[in-house]
Amino acid sequence: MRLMRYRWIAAVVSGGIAWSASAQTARSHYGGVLRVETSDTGDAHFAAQISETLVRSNRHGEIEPWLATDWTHDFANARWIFTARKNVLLQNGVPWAPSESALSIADSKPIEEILVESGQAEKSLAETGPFHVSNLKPGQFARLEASEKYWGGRPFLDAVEIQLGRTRRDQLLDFELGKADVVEAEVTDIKSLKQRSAVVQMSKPLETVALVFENAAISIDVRQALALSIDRATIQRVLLDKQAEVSAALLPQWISGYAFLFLTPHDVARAKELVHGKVNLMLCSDPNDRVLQPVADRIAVDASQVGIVVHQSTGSCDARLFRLPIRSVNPQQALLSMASALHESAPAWAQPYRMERELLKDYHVVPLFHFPLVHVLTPNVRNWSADWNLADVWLEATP
Amino acid sequence: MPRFTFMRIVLVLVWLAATLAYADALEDAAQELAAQIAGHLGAQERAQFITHNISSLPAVDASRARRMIEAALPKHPRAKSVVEITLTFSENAAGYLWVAEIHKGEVEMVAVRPKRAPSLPDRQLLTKRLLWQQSEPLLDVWQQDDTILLLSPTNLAIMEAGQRSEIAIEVPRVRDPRGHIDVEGNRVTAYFPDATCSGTFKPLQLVCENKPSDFSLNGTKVHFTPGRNTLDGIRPSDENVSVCSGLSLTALKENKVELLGKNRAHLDEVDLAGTVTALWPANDGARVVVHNLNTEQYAAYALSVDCSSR
Repeated sequence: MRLMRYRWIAAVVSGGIAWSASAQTARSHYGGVLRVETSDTGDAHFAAQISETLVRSNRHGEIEPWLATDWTHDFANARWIFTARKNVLLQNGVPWAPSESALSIADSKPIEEILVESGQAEKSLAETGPFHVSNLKPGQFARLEASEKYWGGRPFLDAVEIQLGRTRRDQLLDFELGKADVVEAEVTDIKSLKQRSAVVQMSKPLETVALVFENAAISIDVRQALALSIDRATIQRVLLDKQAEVSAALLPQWISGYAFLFLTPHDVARAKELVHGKVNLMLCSDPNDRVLQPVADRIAVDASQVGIVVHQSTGSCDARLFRLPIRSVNPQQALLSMASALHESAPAWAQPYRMERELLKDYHVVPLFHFPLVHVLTPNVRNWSADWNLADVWLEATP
Repeated sequence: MPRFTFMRIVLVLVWLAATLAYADALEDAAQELAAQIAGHLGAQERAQFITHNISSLPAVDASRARRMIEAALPKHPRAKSVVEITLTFSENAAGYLWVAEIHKGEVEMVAVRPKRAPSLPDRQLLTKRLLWQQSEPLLDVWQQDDTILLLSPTNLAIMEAGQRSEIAIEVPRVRDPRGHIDVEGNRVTAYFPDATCSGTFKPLQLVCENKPSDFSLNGTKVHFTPGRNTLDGIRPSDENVSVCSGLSLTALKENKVELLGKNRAHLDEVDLAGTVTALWPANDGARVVVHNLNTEQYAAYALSVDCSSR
């Protein structure tokens, strides 16, 4: 019988996938309420703080045990049986007692695929996380309270208050007025924020800006022509303050290791060959997005060079320019999550490169840039990470 | 055998073992990639490589890897045509990734772990001495002659004459784990915020109960605060280690332990490669655990204070 057994390694390494501008000089401090603002309206950022999965992807993208401590085949070699972690409590204080079926998964595909799927946020099993929701106004506000008996150790913070759906401009205003401890900022804000001596924390690239075609009637030739017409390097230099990575891959190089294989040719001559006659195209982007709006304008200018007339629209769209968050450092998990966000059918399980090539093969999705996530922090915030690992965040005590 | 010489030998053996594992990983990856490339070559074809190294793989290892891949490819003495292969040594969050672009439009790749060749542990001989280094979190360490006890959040390990054995510890978890070992003769006690484990280390046996117990710090009875990372019985600002003649060691500065005199005057300091996560008294000074966030290694040092001039 094949046996896979992983030893759980205590995850005391904090910081996750981001670097911090502030130095850690003292032992972590318990207590306090952290006030965070985000432009997101859903719970994607904090869902993992409330409910948990059998396994999870760590900061290296490796799948590690979480609510399950190990897994093995049953006697018939037909199912994988996961062992539940002991001493896990639900938010109401009742011991977590999963049913046998929740811990048994048919051995119908490679174990690597089963583990990646089991670690996806939508597969969360139980509300056992380090925080629990004490107040929720969907799309507006959430208050999370620390779970005193969390199996992984009580979080340092007493509570986290999250303002949802705030534009980044409003977030910076709130920060200036002392109403928030952590807010989001744009890559184009970095220079001015640093000049004002703000504590700015920039992650590795964790957001993909892509052009996504929504109108199936747009031919592959036109899609490819538009991709070839875009001068990514100039946009990156002029409009994005050189703070983004130019790319034609969904995943950034630091996560996949193979992004360099996806080339970003700016080939106007070839693009012209692909366009026959005048082509009109409706392009949508978020009108409140002060970074993507100028990028959309520039795409329209580039497209006009090859005979594609781009009209910016807020109604029906042939194509949309938007930001795709990268939710995992595990390449396959990230690609499955992106496919779901793009409403594309999930690629067949394979090496990440082959899965990504499958997703990009017909120019329905044209990646353009990878953005870092930028957060502005008050000086007393410690251990903030772009992946919102709130349980390890702490506030330095005021003297 | 003198204690220091023995420790050097142990450290060199640990380094040697890690180096051999690294060499094996490179060899295995080279064999695997060569086999994948060979699948694309016809009987009349031979490979010609163009290499790029865009990773942190040392240039010498990249050259060695290329030679290993070339050597592992089947030889076709009568090959008439050349297939150009672009070999890129890349890396991602998990480790190295070697990518072969075969100029027939095919791409093959292989992941390589461990990512880096280990470097020989640093040694300081005057005021600090490296006792141990590991990737697993380390809470406290105790050393006498050729025996080292290593306390982590999940086990107590004993290293003796290069042999490691360990016993698992199941205690309630805290966010910022702390632990402390006391040894008296063959008796060992491990203190945690919500538990106390006691037993012997020869043989290695421990019994744990889920309640904190007092231990002595600078002559004061203290215990870990349940569920927290603080000590009850002492002010946080007094969490230092008293040494001779009113001197004390503190870890208030980043990546340093300071020697303070009377009236907390600064006398000396040692630089450490990481954040200090534990500082405990020892017979001739203190023992300190640091966490290097760059290498992700935990290291324990013995700190010796020269009290003769005080």
